[in-house]
Amino acid sequence: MTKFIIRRLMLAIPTLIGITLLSFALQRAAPGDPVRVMTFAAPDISPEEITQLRHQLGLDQPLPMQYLVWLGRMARLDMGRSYITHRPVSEMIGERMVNSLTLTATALLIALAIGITAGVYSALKRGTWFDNLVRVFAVLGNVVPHFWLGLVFILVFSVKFRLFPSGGITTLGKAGFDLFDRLWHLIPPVVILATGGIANYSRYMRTETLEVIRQDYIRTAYAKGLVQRTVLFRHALRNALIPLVTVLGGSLAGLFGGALIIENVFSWPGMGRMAYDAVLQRDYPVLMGLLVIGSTLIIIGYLLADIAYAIVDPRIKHE
Amino acid sequence: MADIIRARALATARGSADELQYRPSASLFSTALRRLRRDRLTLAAFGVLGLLVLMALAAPWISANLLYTTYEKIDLELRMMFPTLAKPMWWLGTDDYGRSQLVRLMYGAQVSLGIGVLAALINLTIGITLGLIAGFYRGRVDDLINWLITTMVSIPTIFLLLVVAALFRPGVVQLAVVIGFISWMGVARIVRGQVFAARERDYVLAARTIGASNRRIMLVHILPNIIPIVLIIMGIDIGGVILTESALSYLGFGVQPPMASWGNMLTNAASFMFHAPWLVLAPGFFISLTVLCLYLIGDGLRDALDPRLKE
Repeated sequence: MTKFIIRRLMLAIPTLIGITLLSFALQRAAPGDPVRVMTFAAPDISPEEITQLRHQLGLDQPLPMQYLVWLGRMARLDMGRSYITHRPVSEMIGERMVNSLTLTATALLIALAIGITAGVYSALKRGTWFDNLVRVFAVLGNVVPHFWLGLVFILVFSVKFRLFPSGGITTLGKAGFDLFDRLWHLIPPVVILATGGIANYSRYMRTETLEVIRQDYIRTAYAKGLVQRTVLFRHALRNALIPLVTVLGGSLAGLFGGALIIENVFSWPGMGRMAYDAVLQRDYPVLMGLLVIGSTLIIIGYLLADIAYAIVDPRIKHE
Repeated sequence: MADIIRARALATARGSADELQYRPSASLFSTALRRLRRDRLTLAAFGVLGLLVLMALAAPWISANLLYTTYEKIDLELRMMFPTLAKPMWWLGTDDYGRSQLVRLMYGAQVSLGIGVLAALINLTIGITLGLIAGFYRGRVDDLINWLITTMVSIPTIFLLLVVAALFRPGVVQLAVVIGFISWMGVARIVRGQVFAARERDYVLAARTIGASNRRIMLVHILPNIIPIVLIIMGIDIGGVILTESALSYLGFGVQPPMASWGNMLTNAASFMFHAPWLVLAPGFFISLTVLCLYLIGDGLRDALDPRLKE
């Protein structure tokens, strides 16, 4: 097992290199000389000083060298400073990451709980109205744009019925930490973000459960005289859950991208909102930092999913 | 007589009633077409999608000859007018610049469907090519392509698009190209898997025995066999691109005004939600309807082309 995990960790390295290469290339392709941006406030700067500044920043070195230097700085979480706020990028991202993770983690947990239950139940009650409802929901969850769903949610629950806040993380001007207020603001984006997950997980669980309950070992379990409950939970559910673990890794990437849009719909101060602002302000260090950090989080997600898969399914060989 | 017995045995083996009658040689596509013709839901999806395409293509003609307006004609006196039957151009109300929402929706269909088809063609081409090469050659080549796939999959698409849009401010066509270039991984993975299986089949061995080159085997023998799966994923693929474009345009980094896209029509609508909720509802409805049709068509094609895949 340890061997498998180490091997899997090694496999993440080329991916990480690929992402950093791409980010670096994009950064280089960005219009606007960083020196120009830095000296924007000092138009009377001499050409000699500019040359010296270029040297200090390492911009006169060959590209591969520059990449390695940049990579070294990234590894130490030194991502430079924001063009706008002049604060370290890693510090800014750190603040926002907590908000983003609160949102995505809550949405993921809720989506898993509801998705798995609905999927298994609709498989067991195949052909009933509940099953049809779950299937229709699964299709709609995949075809309706989530950001629009968010807008409609605001339209109905914030504008029309005034039940939920239309955005933000707390009520403006509210001092101190108010858990209830926080939760109140968390509900709308979580509901929308979880919708996609529920649609996908319920579909997977339904297909998988239908597959599993046909298997011989289920019949054997019934033949042994076990009650339905035991058969379902100890034999069927465990096996039906296995493929979901692999889907989970991929859905993390989707959740991340989805959060970017949903955060903007609900003015949620997370990394997605930050990315949007950074694009508007052409704040490249922040943008690149977010790209690398966001992608790294996704790689970690895939990694955890693969390891979890190896743990739940003893049939895969660790070689 | 022997034929009938054989056909019956075949039918029992396949468990399907329509095989009872012995059909000498039905090609995959003619069988699929026969199944499709009985699939009402898929046919309806085809019909609705056809209407949407027609609406997109006829947008300039309809707006000029029936609605007497254009997609960019501003009338500040008639801002955010509630949908009314008084004039056809107001059937779906007007937006915050007094432009006819109906006309903008029709032009938006051009952009959304156009980008969807163009970007999907690009990502299918890249995905099929790389998938074919990876699955056929395996080994190092496969490792390399797989690395490319894993890397690209680890970057959230919308995020990458946002960065690219910020750096290069693409026009409509460039936008489609960019979306195509960063959304091919799913296609490549599926094709790669299919090719893995296909190249072990006897017909590939047979082709090799008579001296066919690698390229010939890939293009003439394997490629036609993965066309069904490509047709199946195409619907969902185009739908995915339309959703991506709408999200990007909604954020304000995709299709730029005054050009209308279903996504960018929602950008401003969000701020006028209180006064003009219809501006929020209509574009989203059209996006959903289009993607739904594409999804159902993909589903229907899957059932028609490969019924074994059902559930």
